[in-house]
Amino acid sequence: MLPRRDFVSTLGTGLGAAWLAAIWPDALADAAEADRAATTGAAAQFRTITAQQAADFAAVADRIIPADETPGARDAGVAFFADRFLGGMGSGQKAEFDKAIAAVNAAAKKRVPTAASFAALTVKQQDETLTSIQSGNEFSVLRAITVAGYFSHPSHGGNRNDAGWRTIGIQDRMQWSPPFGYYDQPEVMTKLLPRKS
Amino acid sequence: MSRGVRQQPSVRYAPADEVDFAIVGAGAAGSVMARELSRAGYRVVVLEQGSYLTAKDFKHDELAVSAGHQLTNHPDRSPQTFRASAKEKAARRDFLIYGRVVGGGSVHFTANYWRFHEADFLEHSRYGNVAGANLADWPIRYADLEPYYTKVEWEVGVSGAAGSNPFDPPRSRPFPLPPMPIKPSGVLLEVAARKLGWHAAVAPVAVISQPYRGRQACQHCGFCENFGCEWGAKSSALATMIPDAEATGRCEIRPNSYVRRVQTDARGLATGVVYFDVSRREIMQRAKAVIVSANGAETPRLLFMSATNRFRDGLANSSGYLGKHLMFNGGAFAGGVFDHELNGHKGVQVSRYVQDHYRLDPKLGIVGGGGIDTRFDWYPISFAMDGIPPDAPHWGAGYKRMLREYYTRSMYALAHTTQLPQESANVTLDPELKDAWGLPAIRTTFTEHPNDIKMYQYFLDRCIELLDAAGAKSTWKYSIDIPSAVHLLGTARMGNDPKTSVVDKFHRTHDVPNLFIVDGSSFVTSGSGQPTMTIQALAFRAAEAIAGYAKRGEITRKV
Repeated sequence: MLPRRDFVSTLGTGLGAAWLAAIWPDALADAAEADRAATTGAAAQFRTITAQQAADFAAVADRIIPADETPGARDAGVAFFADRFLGGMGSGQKAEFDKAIAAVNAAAKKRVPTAASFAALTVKQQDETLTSIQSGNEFSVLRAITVAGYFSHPSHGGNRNDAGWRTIGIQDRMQWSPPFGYYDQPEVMTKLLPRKS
Repeated sequence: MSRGVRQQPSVRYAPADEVDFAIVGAGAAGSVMARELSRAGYRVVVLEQGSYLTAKDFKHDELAVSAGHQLTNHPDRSPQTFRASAKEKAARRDFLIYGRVVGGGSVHFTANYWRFHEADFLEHSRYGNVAGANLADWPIRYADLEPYYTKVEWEVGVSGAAGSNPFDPPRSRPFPLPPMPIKPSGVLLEVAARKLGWHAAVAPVAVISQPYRGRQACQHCGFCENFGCEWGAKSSALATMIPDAEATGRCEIRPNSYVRRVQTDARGLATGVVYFDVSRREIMQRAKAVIVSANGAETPRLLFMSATNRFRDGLANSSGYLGKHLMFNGGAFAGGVFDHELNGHKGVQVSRYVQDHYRLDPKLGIVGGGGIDTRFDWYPISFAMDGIPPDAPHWGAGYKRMLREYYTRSMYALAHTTQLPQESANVTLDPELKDAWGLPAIRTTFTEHPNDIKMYQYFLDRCIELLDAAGAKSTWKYSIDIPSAVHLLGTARMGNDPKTSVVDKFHRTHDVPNLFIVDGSSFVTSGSGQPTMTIQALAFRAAEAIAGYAKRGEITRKV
């Protein structure tokens, strides 16, 4: 388990908080609340999903995108994202989410009859449970929300501290200039594409 | 940045005020029509279903443009149905994607601006009748359109290098702007082309490489395809044609105005349009002439909804061709991963392409052909969903490692090809499903022609060949599954014969003299790349002709 980072100045993109507040005032409050919850350990206020659903979803998500050199999905705030997303832009998917969490818990109880829920399983049991349902539609729904929560703009409540973007090695900037990568560096281009004589 | 801010509407017309032109749709075509006709001195209203967003509304927010449908048709408000053939009942499926903002699809497009070649106008002459398809020659040739292709390049701002592509048709002027910088994916395409004997060329893109006409140059932020450009550097109709139209003081852009019917009278002439305003009140805007530029799906839909006793099968549909011959362009898609960073997420998507397969060797027995570019057109969420090989782990530690390794080290070869016009491929009104306004939903009927399945396989093999020759460590293919239904073409075909076309070669409908259709629905055949540049060239040409009719008092009668 990685130590929690201090939430420093901005909300992850290098853009000032003032810029975000100007265009996403609600999102700024949401993201700040999410981070407060993360740093103080207090339960985040969930509005759309239940605390139990949040715990089970966070556990599923943390197996889909586990922690390694960068945070896993739980620490990136995907449960908070899911709560906001399913109450807003993604409200059409709330029913599917409920069904999917129920299905995951049913599969968990099938595997470990005494388990209270998916979140209570060991990591090994969780992976076995997910493997048993990985081809199904319910798993796809949870995977999609996990991915959206891990990689979407932090203003939506997930991708905390740009964990998702750092994982894949990118930054969100307004400007880049060439060379953009390795192959368009002039010395490399000269070697790869020698002047035809 | 003056072009980032919406100007106060320079003019507002009352609905009862009979303007010269009511234009349905402020997309790539409608915006050109608006600019040219208002510049020619005419009073123009453009009714656009979507909102009027500007540069300050455009953010690097992938969720907003995907799940949020900020720039495109929203499936909740505009649901669709789909069926493979007329033998089936259509099921709920959001198959077509198109722009629904002022600027239309040109706000979010990838900005590849390839001209048609002469071959694209002459498919029937070249191939004759192909079973299961309805090939026809266009009533115009490349030479008719060349001056307008050039006009598009200079008026909207296209960056490129004349002479770079040996297969390009002749041009009367160079590009107005120098090429965009080469990306690593472009370097690797050049490496592959040298090995394979293909001809890598500078990709012409509707993005400005330098400041142009008051707009700021591209800053290579990478949030290009699928996003609006906060710099105004992508040469969308929103950044280019719309401000010019409004600056005349004669053109009103009226957003959140959903046209539900083109009105006609007992003489059989168009008298205006009926639309829902933002509060869903129905309003009739009077006009001396109507131009429909609503895209290849919404245009036939509107004309079906405008049926009268005289035109029971849809307004201006005496030919029966309305809605038929729906085409999307074909495409093949493959990925490859490399040793070092490409960082395809930086900069516009495409910097190089090849057209060595523009028309395939007849010995292959495949009608048509196309071009291939290299690109990285994922964003983090879409990449994590579908960007790594289909047989790779899709969750867990290995999956996460693969996302990390592949995101900055992969590129994709994408082919754009022709697609045959089939009478059985069409857009109609769904008999049951309604949209949020109570109007019939769009129903698409479509199955790939066997020729186009062969073409997909052929180009998939070429894409893999390209990636291998570029030095990919490994490659993977994407199955044909369903074509990308974003180029909407063919559904109000242009032609000289009113029995086999909906509009004439200047986009006047054969049946209603003061009703014009100018958008992708006018296409006779699909072309071998992307349609927007040709749509805009056709629009410049149509606008010139239509302004001429208006000037000579020939709008309400064909002379």
